Amino acid sequence: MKRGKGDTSRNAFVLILLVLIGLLLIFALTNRSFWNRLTGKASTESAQVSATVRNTAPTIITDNLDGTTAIDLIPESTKDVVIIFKAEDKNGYNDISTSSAQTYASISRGAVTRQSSPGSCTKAPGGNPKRADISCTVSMQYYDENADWTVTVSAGDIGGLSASQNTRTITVNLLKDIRIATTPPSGPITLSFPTIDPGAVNQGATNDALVITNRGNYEGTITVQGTNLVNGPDSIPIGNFNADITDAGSCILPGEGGTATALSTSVVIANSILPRTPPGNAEDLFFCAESIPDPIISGDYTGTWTIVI
Amino acid sequence: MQKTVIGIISLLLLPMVLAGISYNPNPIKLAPGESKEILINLQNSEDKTVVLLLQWIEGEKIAKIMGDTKYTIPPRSYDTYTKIKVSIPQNANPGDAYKIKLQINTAPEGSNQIEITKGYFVEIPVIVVAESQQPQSPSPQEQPVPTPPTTTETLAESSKQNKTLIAAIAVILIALVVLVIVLMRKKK
Repeated sequence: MKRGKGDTSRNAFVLILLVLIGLLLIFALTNRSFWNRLTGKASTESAQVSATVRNTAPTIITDNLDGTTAIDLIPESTKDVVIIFKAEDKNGYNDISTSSAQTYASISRGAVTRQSSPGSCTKAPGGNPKRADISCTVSMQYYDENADWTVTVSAGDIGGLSASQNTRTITVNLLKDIRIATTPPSGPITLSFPTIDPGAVNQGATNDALVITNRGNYEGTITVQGTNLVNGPDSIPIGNFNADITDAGSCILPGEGGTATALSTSVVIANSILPRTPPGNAEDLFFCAESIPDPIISGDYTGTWTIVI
Repeated sequence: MQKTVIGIISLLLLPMVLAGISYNPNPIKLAPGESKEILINLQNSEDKTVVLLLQWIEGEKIAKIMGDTKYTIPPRSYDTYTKIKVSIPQNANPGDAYKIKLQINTAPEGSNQIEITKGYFVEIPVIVVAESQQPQSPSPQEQPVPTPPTTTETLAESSKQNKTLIAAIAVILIALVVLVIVLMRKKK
């Protein structure tokens, strides 16, 4: 049976279609860029590629790796406080710069700020390639206020970007420490009264003042706790002695127009104040034997007096 | 009557030891039945050992010293601690207030003359509250940092789209082949 003209045309069309499909497949399978575009695979062809990765600022992940919540200061010295925090930089660990002035820790209260020295912080790997544990040392002064201070940590990167955080507080504990000396503070440290007759009045100590120097951050009054001065069965009551912050007033009690404080087993010396911030962080105390009993036996009288803050 | 002369009264300041204390004086808030330990740092700035003596002034009913009352502090030492345990009675009422007050003195060194020592008050208010306000154990909490999709995530998404495209092309090709075969069979 003979084939019609229509059949021939259809066959030709199908043939052309198959050829086109074949060509398309061959092209797709042999053309790498087309195939790579389809599959998303990287090309192995060498080509010049230019890309700019934007520098991003570090972020503070946590600011209290050290766990420090309170500080005990050191008398008449500085206390190094190590603050450790974790920072992250999307540009990697190496982008976090400890030589940057932006990388630091500080502890501040009001107008007072103690800050780590520029470039003194160190870093260590912080658990993943983008993180660093940064350690900074802050020196606190012995007279820094007993209060809650704000901790600020900051991390800078090589590109000059930085981030900081100040959500944490740290308590500076109360430091009580005093030095007692006479003026001038040399030789054997004694406080002496002259030889006193029974019944004598207003005999001032010969080598006062006692200089009470504040070696900590206490700020307040001074208490003197006294005992009677005893010589065998006889004694001079502690109440017969006075103290004051000025020499002129040490023998005159308020009832007599003065400002002295009569000593007792425990008494705050009137007007005494021990400031905490040097210079001037000292207070003078002057003593006076206001009256000596009469009669009283001759001899040396002993006891213990305590300066308390 | 002839008066008797008293000898020189001399207040001898024995070599004054440089010792101090450090503590947190902030009020302690505890609920009835609760207890808390507080630390007092005893410091010695001398090149020799010093002895510090603790004595109660107030608050002994709700607090006790967990160790000795006499401490020998090594030279140049700033980390010797005495521990005080504060315990609030079960029958205490919220709003009740107590005060812990101790005195820590440098020990007299034993002299035949009048001796001056120095001492430090330790004063800590204690307030009874209805519920515990003691801080939880510190746990550094990492703040989650929102991050954009990573490069790996972007590639995975792209690969998924490409697979869909390949599948669509394959379906079309198969459909065309099937169409051709059907047409050729009809022709026969």
